[in-house]
Amino acid sequence: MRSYTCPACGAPGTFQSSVSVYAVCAYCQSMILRRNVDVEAFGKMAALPPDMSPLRVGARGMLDGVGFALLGRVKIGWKDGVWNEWFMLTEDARRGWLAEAQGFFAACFELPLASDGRALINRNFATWKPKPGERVNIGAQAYEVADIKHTVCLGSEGELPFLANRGRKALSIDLAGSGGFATLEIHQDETRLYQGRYVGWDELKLSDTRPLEGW
Amino acid sequence: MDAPTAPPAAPPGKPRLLDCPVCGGAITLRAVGHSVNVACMQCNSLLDVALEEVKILKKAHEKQRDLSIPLGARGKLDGIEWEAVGYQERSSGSGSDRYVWDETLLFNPYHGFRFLAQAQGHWSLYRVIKSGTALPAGTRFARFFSGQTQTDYVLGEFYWRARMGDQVHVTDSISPPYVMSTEKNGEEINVSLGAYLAREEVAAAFGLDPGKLPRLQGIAPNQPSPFAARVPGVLRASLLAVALATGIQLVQAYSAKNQVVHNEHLTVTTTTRDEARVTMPFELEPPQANVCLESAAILDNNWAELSVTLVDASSQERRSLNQGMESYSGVDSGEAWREGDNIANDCFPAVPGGQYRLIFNAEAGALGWGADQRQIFYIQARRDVPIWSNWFALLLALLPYPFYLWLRHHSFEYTRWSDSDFMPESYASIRNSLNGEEE
Repeated sequence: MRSYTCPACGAPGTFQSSVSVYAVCAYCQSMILRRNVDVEAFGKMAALPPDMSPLRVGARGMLDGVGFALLGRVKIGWKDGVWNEWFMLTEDARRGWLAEAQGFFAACFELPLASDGRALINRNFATWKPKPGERVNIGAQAYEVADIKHTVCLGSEGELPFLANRGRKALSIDLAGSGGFATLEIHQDETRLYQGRYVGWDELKLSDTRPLEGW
Repeated sequence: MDAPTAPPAAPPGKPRLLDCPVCGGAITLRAVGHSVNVACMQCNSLLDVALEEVKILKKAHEKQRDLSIPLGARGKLDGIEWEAVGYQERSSGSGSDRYVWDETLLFNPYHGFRFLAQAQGHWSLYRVIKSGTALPAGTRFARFFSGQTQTDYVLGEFYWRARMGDQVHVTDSISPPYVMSTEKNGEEINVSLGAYLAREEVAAAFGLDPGKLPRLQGIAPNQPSPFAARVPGVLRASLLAVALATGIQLVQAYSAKNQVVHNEHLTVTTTTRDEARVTMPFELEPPQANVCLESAAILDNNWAELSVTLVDASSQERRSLNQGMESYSGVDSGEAWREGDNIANDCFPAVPGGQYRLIFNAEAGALGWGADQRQIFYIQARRDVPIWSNWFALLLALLPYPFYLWLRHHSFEYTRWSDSDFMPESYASIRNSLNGEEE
């Protein structure tokens, strides 16, 4: 954990995860970039579009017997909807995402794109034009391209491992396999691979959730 | 520097209120952040509400509609409280094959969405299932419907771009009370699992008068057979009763002495036909048990009758029975036939121990033929003979009810599958033979 002072308003803040490079000040909504030794503020994040999410930054839950906390959120839009990606840190120091879309929660963790020097997915992401139904292998596991979405970041809060400014565009490719699902996120020349599974609300045993009027 | 204060808490989630840009009516968005399309409850105009800026997708000026489950109503199903947020009417086929149903979209901010579908007064609760989701134990899905469907009406809010005229290819497979629906729309495939709900449950969940819900008609594809539910219990009870009776019967049969107490070779002639034959006394050992007579008459296209009396030598108490025997055979148009039985088996039940005699009076068809006729009987009396007739009677009494349930169950299933293009072979052959007879 690293504490800092917001360069814009002087409020205290912390980076709880060592990989976090970006945060939104909870007091003044300034966007803060983490440098080697100090932090830098650069403009303000607009309020996030309203939603009925029961999650919030600071909520805690359980996943496969290990506790986690939600550190930040990216609000993502595409032509037919909006969803939330919650950045989470587990008690055993793994960093993952809890996606919240269409009433489903899915927990996923980033996989390196290569292991033992070998690429896990044999595609050149700079030129790849994915098609629905296309077979893709992740290591030895077979997946199929289920969905391809052009996404745009609608806003962010808390701390995050990348700069999630408004208007950040990406290509999101959902892969479905018998063992679960995976997602490729291609942003400019940067590709990240996530693998995960769907989880039910009761399974997550969440606390410090957001109050919802009427519920 | 001042002591740090806690950061301002995130505002609570709440419904989004907006005014319809077409009619000005108030719209409450309940699944905020999920809903992308909303059809105005007042004028039915379709609006894009995915982002903060509301866009008109289609203007309309319709009258308000009354729904069985009004939008905004709350009800508890599967232990979760749901709020009705959207409603759509869909149909498949045309003409006499047209099938219509409606779906109420239910929302809970923690548990997501469910679909409460209604067709012909039958209700099912659906949830979207993702690949890898475990299906309920013991289900075996059989294809019931496959075809194009369209959306005829939408009202309220939806988390997808719902609109009138939407075309979706649907494949339904059933394993009552479950139904699995695979909807294919372009490149998107959604699978949902529905479970049948009694209309009383729906009425109770939303506090509605069951009489105001659509009238129940026919059999729903995933309606559980009321007989199927009873068959296992009845079968179990019947099998248990049979096993118990068989056990008792076997113990009795095994422990029965089945002892020969008297043999009689009886010859009756035309001159002795009116005389009673009295045997020497014989001993029956206590405790009380039955005495059975196996009597055989030598017969050739004739009949014979024995009237038998068992007399207690000390008390003179009498027990009587009659035994009829007959045997006929011949050849009719080249076919040999035989009927009747020349052996009779009858029992005196519960005879106490003691000294007894048997008295026989015989009559036979042969004795009436002339002066020198005779009729021969071989009679064997046995003590403590195992009796199977009660056991058979019990089997006969137990069989009809399971058989009745089985018939009703298959009649129900036949009616269910009559609405399907995928009727199982066994029912289809019945339908073909029924249609064949009508022609």
